[in-house]
Amino acid sequence: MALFVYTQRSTLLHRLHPAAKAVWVIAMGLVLSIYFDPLPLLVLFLVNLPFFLLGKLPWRSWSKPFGYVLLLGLVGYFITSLWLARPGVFTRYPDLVGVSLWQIAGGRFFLGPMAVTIGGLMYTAGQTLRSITLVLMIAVFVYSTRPNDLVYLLSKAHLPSKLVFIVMVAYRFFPHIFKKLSTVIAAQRLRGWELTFGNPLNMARQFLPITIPVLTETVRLSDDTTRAVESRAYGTSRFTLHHELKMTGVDWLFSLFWILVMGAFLWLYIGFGVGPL
Amino acid sequence: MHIPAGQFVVITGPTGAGKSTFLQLLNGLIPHQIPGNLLGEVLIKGRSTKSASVAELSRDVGMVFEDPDTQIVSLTVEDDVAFGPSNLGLRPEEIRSNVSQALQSTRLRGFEERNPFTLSGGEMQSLAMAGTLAMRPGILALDEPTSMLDPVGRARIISILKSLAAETKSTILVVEQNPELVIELADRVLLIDEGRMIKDGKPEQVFGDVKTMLQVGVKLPPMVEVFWELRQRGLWEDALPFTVQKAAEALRPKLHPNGPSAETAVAPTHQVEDPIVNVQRLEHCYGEEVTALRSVSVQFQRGEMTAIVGQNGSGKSTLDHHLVGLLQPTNREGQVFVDGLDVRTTPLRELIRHVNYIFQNPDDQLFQESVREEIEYGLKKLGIGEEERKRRVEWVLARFDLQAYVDMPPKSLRRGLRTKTAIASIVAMQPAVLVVDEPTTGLDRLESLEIMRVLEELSDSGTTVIFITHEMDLVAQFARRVVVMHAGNVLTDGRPAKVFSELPILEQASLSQPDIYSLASLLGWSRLPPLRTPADLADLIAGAM
Repeated sequence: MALFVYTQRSTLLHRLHPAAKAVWVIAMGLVLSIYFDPLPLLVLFLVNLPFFLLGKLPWRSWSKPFGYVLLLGLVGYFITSLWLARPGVFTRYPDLVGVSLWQIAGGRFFLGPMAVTIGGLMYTAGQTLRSITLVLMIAVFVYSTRPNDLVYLLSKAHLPSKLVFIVMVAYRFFPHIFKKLSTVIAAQRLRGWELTFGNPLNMARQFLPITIPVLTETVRLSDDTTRAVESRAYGTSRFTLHHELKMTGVDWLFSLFWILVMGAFLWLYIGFGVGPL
Repeated sequence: MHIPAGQFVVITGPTGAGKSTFLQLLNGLIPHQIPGNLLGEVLIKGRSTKSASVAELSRDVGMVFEDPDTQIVSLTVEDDVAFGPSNLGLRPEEIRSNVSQALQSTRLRGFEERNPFTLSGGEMQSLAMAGTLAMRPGILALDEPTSMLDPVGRARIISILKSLAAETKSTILVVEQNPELVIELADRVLLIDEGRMIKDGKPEQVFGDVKTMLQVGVKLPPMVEVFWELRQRGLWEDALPFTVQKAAEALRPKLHPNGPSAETAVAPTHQVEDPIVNVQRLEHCYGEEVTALRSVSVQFQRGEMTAIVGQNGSGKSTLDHHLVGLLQPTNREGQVFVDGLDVRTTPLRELIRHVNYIFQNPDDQLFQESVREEIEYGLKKLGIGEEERKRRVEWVLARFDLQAYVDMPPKSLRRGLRTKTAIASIVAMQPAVLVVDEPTTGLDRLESLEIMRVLEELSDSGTTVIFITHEMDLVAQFARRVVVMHAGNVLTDGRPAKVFSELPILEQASLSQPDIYSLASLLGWSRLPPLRTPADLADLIAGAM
């Protein structure tokens, strides 16, 4: 799993001040949280695309895990969309989105009517685009931002040291946990563990041989790391950096650009109702 | 007790004796991080650890833990070393200077921009030490810093410790299960058992009391064991030497010039007559950049106990993962047959009835609420009937001496028992071939020997046992055959006595002889019979006196 790992490289995004990249993530995060319409989301994705490319991401090694995330998202969103068949669920395109392409279950189904609709498909497309943009943006941010710079930035923002620690540990140990997950799966497969499909409760039980060792390892890791970082004076005083970290003209320009993009999308949302379905 | 500045103190004792607890008292992790009832007081430079926080105490006591993985928080070497000084709020130029010096002391110059997770185990532990040294503590406390490392990594850490002891005035405290590694550096040795200080004195005083050491179950330096054997036979009355060099010096004047009489009893050449595992032209590449195995061909004899040795990254684990079908060859010609089955085409659920693998960390597989359920799990998955299941569970419980823990949750047991439970749960599945990855990691001498003896018994009763290890003395004692790997190749393969006499090959693989073979080599003895334990070498020496 190569996603969400900082890698030392010399790219424009690596050279940017972490605060400038934080502005990007926060601004786009805000827009993504209120937009569901796939068309503006596609525009937003295209605006972000050059920056994803500028990071010179390891696309080859990312393709597999990213593909899994995408597939999982698509299936999940599509299944959810089947229950969005009630008239009035969508406000912006009530006539368009209510068109049923294939009726699966009628009104007496316990979760309500269930159908493949134009609206459901639009919802699936929108959610998938949101997820892709968000995952790529966070992955690029993590890929190009030194953990120490992030700790410095968060400390500067006067966040509690415990919260900063959680971010730092997540940043550092995400890949480790994925590696552990694959070891545990291998160990249990050698004891005959297999995933079989059927009753959801039984399926959940089948994951116990995987989740218990992984959770135990996560707890151990967090305990050991807490002791290790405390032993290295974490949280004693103001965090300083050994290298200069100053906002340059490019950083200001980058930040301004994303503030303008956010402004434009908020303006469309508030002024013209663009965003919801 | 009182530890004066500048002393090099080795702390030893069995697993669970209280060694780590002792170190954690020094930097305040106890009582600030780890709760409990603390009586008495620890003063560091006159300041009570109760009144200062862990972070404050870190200016005086630098702590290096066993697992380098959990101590590294940044994703470049330079950033990680700078983490401690940054937390202390030092000025940038001061941080840079401390970082530079720490990298120099730990021989990590030139690694500044490297991702720590691309480093070897020894380099990672050096990085953990650098991160601590950069904070300039007066006291350096190291908790089993070499236990998770291969021989190259161990040599690196010991060499750094030697330089630090010689060049700085730091007080150094090291918890170590292999005392022969640090014994030469020690001014003082503390022996701890069941939370009590059993012995406190100079190395010769503490390790000279062999009876107490054996009673407690601490690993003795192999040379002490050899000369203790000689003393027991009335052949040695002088002080017990700790190192191979000193042993050779002490012995030379007392030996017959013709050497040992048993020298002619050379180990027979090894031949695989009934291979149960047959690997041919096996290659494995991880992505496009890393070739882990390069056309490896090797066979394993049915019912034999074989050790695979080599430094980390030599391809040992990759080879073993192929034997159980966790990996597939990345070349067309590569073939792996186990117990007559083609691993490439046999489904895993069928393969695990014939061959199985035990991971290094028992916690990777333990999840049940009792030892019995843990052992039963694999049997249920194989579809074994209830009667047979019960019989096998009782059989492994007896074999691994786990009856007293049968209803206890495996997670609550100490590491040695967890390892036994993990191995027992696989052994109960009765595979013809058992592959075990570093079964003695994190265990003390007695626990290690216990596990290895059970594996030996299994091998004696017909199971083929293949184990990976970095412990050369265990290889000498338990393996009937050794496969040496280096850079994805099998460098040599044969009886331990033959392999341990091939010094250039061992050097190429960055391995060293067990101390008992080193002493025989230093004495100029060649064509040795199999030396499994210090007692075997004592026999040889006795014949030459």
